[in-house]
Amino acid sequence: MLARPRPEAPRAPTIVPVLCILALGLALPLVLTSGFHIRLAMLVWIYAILCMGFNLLYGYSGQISLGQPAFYAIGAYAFGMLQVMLGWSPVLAFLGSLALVAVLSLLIGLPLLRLRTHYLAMATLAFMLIQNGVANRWIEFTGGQSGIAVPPLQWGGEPIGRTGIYYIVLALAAAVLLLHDLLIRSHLGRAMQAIRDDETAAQALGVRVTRYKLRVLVLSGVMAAVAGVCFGFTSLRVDPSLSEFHVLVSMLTIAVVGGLGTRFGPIVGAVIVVVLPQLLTQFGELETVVYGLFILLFLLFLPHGLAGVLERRDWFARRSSSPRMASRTRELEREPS
Amino acid sequence: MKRTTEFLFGSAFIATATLASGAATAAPLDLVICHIDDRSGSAADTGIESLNGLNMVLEPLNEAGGINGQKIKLVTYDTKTDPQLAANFGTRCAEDDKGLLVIGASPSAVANSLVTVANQNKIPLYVLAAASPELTDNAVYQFRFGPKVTQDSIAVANALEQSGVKGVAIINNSVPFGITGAASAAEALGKKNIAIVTQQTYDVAATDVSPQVINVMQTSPEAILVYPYPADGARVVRTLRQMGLEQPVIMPRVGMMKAFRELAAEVGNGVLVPSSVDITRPEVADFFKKYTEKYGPLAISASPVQGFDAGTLAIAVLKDETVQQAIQAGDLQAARDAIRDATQKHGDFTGLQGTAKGGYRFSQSHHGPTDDGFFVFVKVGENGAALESVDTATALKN
Repeated sequence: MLARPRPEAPRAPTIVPVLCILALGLALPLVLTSGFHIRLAMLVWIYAILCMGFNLLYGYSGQISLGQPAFYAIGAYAFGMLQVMLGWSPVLAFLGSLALVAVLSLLIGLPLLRLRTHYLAMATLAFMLIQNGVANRWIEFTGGQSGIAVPPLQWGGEPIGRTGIYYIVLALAAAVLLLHDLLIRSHLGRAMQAIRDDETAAQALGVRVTRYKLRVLVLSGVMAAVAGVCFGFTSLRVDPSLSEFHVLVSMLTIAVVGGLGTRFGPIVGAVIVVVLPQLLTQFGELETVVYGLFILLFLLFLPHGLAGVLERRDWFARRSSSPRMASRTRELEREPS
Repeated sequence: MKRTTEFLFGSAFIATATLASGAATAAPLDLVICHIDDRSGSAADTGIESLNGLNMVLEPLNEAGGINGQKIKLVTYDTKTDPQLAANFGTRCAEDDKGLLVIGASPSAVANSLVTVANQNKIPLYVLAAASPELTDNAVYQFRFGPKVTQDSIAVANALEQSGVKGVAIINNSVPFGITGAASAAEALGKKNIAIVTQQTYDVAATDVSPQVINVMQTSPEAILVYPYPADGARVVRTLRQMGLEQPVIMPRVGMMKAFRELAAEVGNGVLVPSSVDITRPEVADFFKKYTEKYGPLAISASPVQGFDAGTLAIAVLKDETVQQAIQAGDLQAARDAIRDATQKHGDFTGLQGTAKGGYRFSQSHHGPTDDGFFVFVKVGENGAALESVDTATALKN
């Protein structure tokens, strides 16, 4: 009795789709009709950045961390507080907040990455709850429920307009997307996938499992912090709602709708999660029901998400037309199960 | 020469006519008000009721022809207690819908988010039930109709002091409402020299609150102050009564909510609530009668009243001469600024919330209810079906 061979992961041989997406992003403000639409586009990129980190951690490495919203919030808080309390410039505050999150995720990762599956999920979720509790209760430091105001970004003494802010968010998203793509296509990406599929086998093949897991955790934390910083200077306010359940739910919805473990799932999912609620307002009281049904349909019929369908289409076609694969499939079909 | 003169005069006439027609064709602004509030999720009741209250003002006005022949267009968005979604809807209202005014934001998290949007887009915001105390600190565009949680606490501390209570236990959940409520109560009670014999915090999802209640039992308080959400509030009161604690329970805001009263049922009887709605006022009783006829039965609740009061003030402000001038000139930002100014200069405003001793005060430095005289006390009765007027001096001595 032979198990059906697991399909080889689709290769990502070209950077062209990434460049096309970024070109689209560059052109977007030229076609969008209002500042509100640009705001939505910024949020798409911010959620895409957040979820690219989650995609690397869970989609490619199999380490389910539900604590990403905590890193997102810490990044945003640090960016605001370093400017307001210590008088740092936005660039220094940006770098400082990334460094802080990197150190924090390293410290948390050392004990937590001994855990796997739902134990790791619960432990990281607890971290998010602790962070949220501190943000809510340490009122003198974090501003409590009201949070803190983030100073607007300025250029030449004048606040940067919304389109300018959009391009800054886009530049950071581009950097994260290129890094995300590079990692997936690199040796590190293959090691991550080996860890996800079987940690013991990966170790036997010489993959330093703990080291790679820790690196990915730190990297995904830093990506979440980048998203948090972007949210901070976009919304000009940071409050405890950044690490509440709705952010986690949005993140998981993006993973489901976009496709976990895919190159462009975080972007496709973010577009759906940010734009769809705006389109569904016409349904009035049925809005939430329609949204829920939509997610359910994705889970039932598109378990790999939209990006999964698009990215695997060519690969499936090649697989069925390949004589070797076709003969192997026929062979398996003849064998008793 | 004559031709040249004719040409010049002709050109000047055409230019003047073009400019004049341009000015004349600047269409008046639509009277767009956005209601942005929770109508699903844990705080759904507040948003649904506030929208109903708002409609009770706007529908008769529109049926009567609107303001100067213009009907008010109400755009509604459900925020689902998601502050980011609320910010998106707020921006959409300000930029796409060309809203003149935003009304809503009952949960504090949503209100915080909308305050930022209101200040960024320079659009007036009438905040409804949100309890967060800092919302209207140094406020420019935001005005509140629901009292601050600190104002509830002042009312509680006054009532306890008048009843001679010296020691109180506080039980609060770990969400922002519970934390902020307990902190403000501690401050207000401290000013009255009323001791907090113990303060217990529990997780909002905790199914068993007996550890906290046992700790309360050991301190023998004269009254118990609870800051919960509806479902956990019912669990707290049930546990208190099951463990034999008979002291008066005071539950600001949540004690009035239908969800709490239905879940608590018989154990909710006697729970005291500082209420910003005084049902003994005839106009308030009349409002609830009409509300019940239109939308179905409802015990006393602040949300529909807040929606009604906000709508009433909005109409008064939209009728203001300066506001109308900006609206007729088609100048959106001037209209929004005029609405802000007209609200600020409105001064004392008697709505359905508050009492004969205190109502709203809108001025440059004060954007909401008065600190004193805004509350009466009610108690839950008839196994949660009713809220009844109560004499706190008697109730707190039981």
